[in-house]
Amino acid sequence: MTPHPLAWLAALAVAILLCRPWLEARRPIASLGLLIGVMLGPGGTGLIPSGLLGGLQPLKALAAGWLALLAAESLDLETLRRLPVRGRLWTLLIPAAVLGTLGWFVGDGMALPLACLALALDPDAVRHALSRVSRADLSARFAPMLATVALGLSLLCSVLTLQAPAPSPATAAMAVAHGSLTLLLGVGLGLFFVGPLRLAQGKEFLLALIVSLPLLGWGLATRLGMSAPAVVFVAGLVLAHDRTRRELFFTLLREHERLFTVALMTLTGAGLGYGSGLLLDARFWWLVAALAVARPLAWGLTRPGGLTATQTLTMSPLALTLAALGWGWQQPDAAGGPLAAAAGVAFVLGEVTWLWLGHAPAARQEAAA
Amino acid sequence: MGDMGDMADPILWAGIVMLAGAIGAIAARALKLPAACGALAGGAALLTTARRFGWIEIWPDLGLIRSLLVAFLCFLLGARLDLTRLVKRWRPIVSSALAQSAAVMVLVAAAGWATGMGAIGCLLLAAGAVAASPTALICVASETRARGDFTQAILTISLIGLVVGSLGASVAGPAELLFLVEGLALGAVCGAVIMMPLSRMSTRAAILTCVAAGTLLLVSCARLRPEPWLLAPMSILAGFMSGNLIPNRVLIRDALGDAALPAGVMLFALVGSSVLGTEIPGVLLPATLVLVARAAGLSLAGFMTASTSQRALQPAALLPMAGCSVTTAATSAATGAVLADGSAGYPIAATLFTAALFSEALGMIGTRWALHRAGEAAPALENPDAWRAQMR
Repeated sequence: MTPHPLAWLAALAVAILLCRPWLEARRPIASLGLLIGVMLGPGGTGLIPSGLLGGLQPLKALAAGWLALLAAESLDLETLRRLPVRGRLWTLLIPAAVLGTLGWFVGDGMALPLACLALALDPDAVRHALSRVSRADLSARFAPMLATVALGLSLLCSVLTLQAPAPSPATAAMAVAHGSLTLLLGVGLGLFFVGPLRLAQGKEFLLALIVSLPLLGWGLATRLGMSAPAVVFVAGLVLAHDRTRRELFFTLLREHERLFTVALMTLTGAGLGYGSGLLLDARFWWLVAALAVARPLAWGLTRPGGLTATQTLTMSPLALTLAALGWGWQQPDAAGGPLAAAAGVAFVLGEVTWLWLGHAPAARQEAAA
Repeated sequence: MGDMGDMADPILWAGIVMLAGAIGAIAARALKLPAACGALAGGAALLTTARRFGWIEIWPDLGLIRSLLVAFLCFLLGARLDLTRLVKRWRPIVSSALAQSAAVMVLVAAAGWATGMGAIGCLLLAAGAVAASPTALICVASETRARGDFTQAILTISLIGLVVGSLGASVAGPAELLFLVEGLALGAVCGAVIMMPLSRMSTRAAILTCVAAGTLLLVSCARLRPEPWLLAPMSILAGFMSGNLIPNRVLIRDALGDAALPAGVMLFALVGSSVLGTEIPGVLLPATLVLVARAAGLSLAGFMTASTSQRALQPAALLPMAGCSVTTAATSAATGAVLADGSAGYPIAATLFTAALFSEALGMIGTRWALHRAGEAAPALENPDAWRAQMR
């Protein structure tokens, strides 16, 4: 049944009323976008029908690709070489190994996707948490960089999630070959865009050109059965090394980050495939427990390179895309399945907990003052 | 030669089209032509090449993305209209708009009659040719950073033309008039809903996010109604409310203006890549007649109503013909059906489509020329930020 426009407007008015206190509190709007998407999507009120959602797939790919490009912003070899905690980078793999083990217990080839999700930290949240610390020590000052490295690793490792789960040597070799081709495609895409980006005069033309990059990368990767976020991320890494246009390129990406984050979260929320059966699915609860409880615990106990437990609570918005990717290879028709739904729940819980932990002490201090 | 539908994935096709459009726009800038013109040519060249080599035979429908871009640009056009200036200069603007509408309708209807169409067919053709393209005008105005009375006048005339064209098309069915009123009311409600959060936004990113959500709302409302062609006037009305009735309107205009050129490039690249040239040869003569009649009507109205300095400029600026008029006529004529007077609906839509395509491609050059001659375009595009600060 087609909803009446007035129903649309009423839903939007409710959404605005919900948004207002959230925006006034200057809180991140990613989880809010996700909840609004769930509310408006076919699984909720149905105000965003599945037909409309299908037509918006390019927009969703553009938003996810945009964020994947942006994730490459501060990752260049020179910066990594100067990182004082580079010797401890391997500790990032401990939480990934913990979640991978839990995923192995779940079965259905969930080990790799869960390991990827464990690494998908939100560098902005880490940066924000660091800014509230008055005298941070040396290793803590590099925590945002570590979070960026973890997110980059997560995107790179996503090339393996598209492979068949059977652990045979032939499959492993195929996975490595496929992963290499994915990285090569990303490098080729990045190199292809270096020339046109240098030719574009003015930021408006540059923006028009940038829009085509994630779409093209995403479309090519999907066509070839590769991990789209990984391809776009690698293209971003190549462009991060192009000193001529690097500053302007990433400034433009950063300027529109909020727009694309909200778009991605809303469309992801609307597209989450779930039903009443999900609540009775043991895998869903196991995955929620792994992502919402075991993941922060693993990070908190390991504390790699100065990252605190609070800093690692929130996940990157790209985590939801990675979750859908991890489930998609085995059930292409399923709209995300339990993994995506669990990632959505963990995302919202993580952000709410982070806000509470981050803002409650400050609010208490203000009240006391 | 690729397989049939090799590039039929909507994301991949959208990426290729955007790339072709962006490259076309960069090339057009190098040739000192409007960027949207280059994007249109880039999209069309891509489609021609893809069809020639068999890379694509069935391509995905990106109509929703196109509608979003149209709604965004029309919203921007509405936001750029300055109520204060309009109140001061409404008489000459309205008289110009009505005179050009009347002259264009009469001459285009005569051209239709000369090609053997019936009375209703002629009227539909005339109604479809009245409006100037709001998206083309706002793209060129934003690219040249034009500001002033002349720019305001041509943007307003395009809005009035859309309303007049819609009223003219209502001859095919009186319900169209009711739809127009209902659509404008819905646009006003959407505008009010968008204004609520927009009035609290203080950063460009937040404004863009809010307007993007509002655009989706407008498109959804327009698509849920039986007359999707009302999207343009609805969006203009919503934008007009946001650009005039809330305190942070200057920031809103600036924030949206920066996104106009990329949005225009994407829109015209998509338009260019969806043009099927098969029907053009069959209606080339009537389309040429329509174009000539429309240009003559614009010139006549300009001569009669515009000031001496703008007699040549106003017709040139209004040359791009509204693409949505094609939809108007097609909807009204119920494409393929035979009208009450014996005219066939399909040739009317095809003629308007061909005329709109050529006039949008070439007319944007006229618009750009007119804005420069009127002295309202930015003098130094190399340093637009300094110019913008000066204008503020």
